[in-house]
Amino acid sequence: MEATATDLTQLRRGVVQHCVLALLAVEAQYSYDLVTALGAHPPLVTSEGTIYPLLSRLRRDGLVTTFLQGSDAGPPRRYYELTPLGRQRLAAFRTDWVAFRHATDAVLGTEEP
Amino acid sequence: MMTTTHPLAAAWLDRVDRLATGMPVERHHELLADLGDHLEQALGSDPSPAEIEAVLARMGDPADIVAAARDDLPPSPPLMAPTVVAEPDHVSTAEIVTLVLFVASGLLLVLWPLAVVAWVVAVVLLITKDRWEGVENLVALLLPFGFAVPWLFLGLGSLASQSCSGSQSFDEAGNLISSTPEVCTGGAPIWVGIGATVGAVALLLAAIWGVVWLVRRIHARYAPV
Repeated sequence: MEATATDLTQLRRGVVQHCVLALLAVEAQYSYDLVTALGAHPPLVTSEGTIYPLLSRLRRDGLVTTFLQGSDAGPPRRYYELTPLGRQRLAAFRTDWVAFRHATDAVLGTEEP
Repeated sequence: MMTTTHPLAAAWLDRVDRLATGMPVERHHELLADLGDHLEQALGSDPSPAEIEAVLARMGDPADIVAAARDDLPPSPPLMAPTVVAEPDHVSTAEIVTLVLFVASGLLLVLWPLAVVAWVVAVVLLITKDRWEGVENLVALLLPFGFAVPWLFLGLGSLASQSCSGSQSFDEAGNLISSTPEVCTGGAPIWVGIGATVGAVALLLAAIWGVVWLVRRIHARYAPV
């Protein structure tokens, strides 16, 4: 039996935003590339369109910042990049996530053999 | 923001636009710009209807997107916010004026029109402001009597002092010619004068104690814990 949509929505809260931060940890990304990259992992997002409001919030929270860069194919493109605060938040989440995942697997009996 | 020319995509964006009505204008425009840019990028120059539908399917339901955008907004204040009347945290000017007027209405007894006005204003403030407890209201209402009645008592005391008058006339040789008996007026017993004075002082002290008691209670009510 699969988890209900509500269960997945609850699971995504607080996790997806850190996945966005992780995708930006290496280099700044064009918003379209960032969204399609995240959208390639269906359990993480309900749809590509819902990622934009998330990006907007991350920017308002100071975890990411944006800049426009010219493009040969059309108008300037909006790029997202991690801020120092976003990098700190990602590092902290990675540590917490490992402990959380191990504890959850131990309780659920879903540990890898 | 690029405006997509594909009818299906344009209709999809229009639906987002309509659903986002009421959002802050800046956020509304930003959302439409982001989604429009994404669609332009995903659709390319000449997509087939199937490709458009596939792209829109990946984008998701406009209602979900707008709902996600609204979730990120700070909560709006309720339309009918409950009216919360904050408790005052300091002695109000009205309280000070009320107390002063009650005292003044007693002290100004000799200027009774002023005393009446002061008392009426004080009572009105006491009723309308409604910041004191029952016993405090009672003490405040009694204050004018505490300051006014001693005046009456002192007047009563003055009646107790007798003044006597009489006259005698003598001739050149020093013989008594006529004599008018001494007549004393005022004649109240001396204990009345003493009693009135004691009563006046006692009432005055009680009134002063009432003022001090009220000031301390009001001050204690607003003193930081």
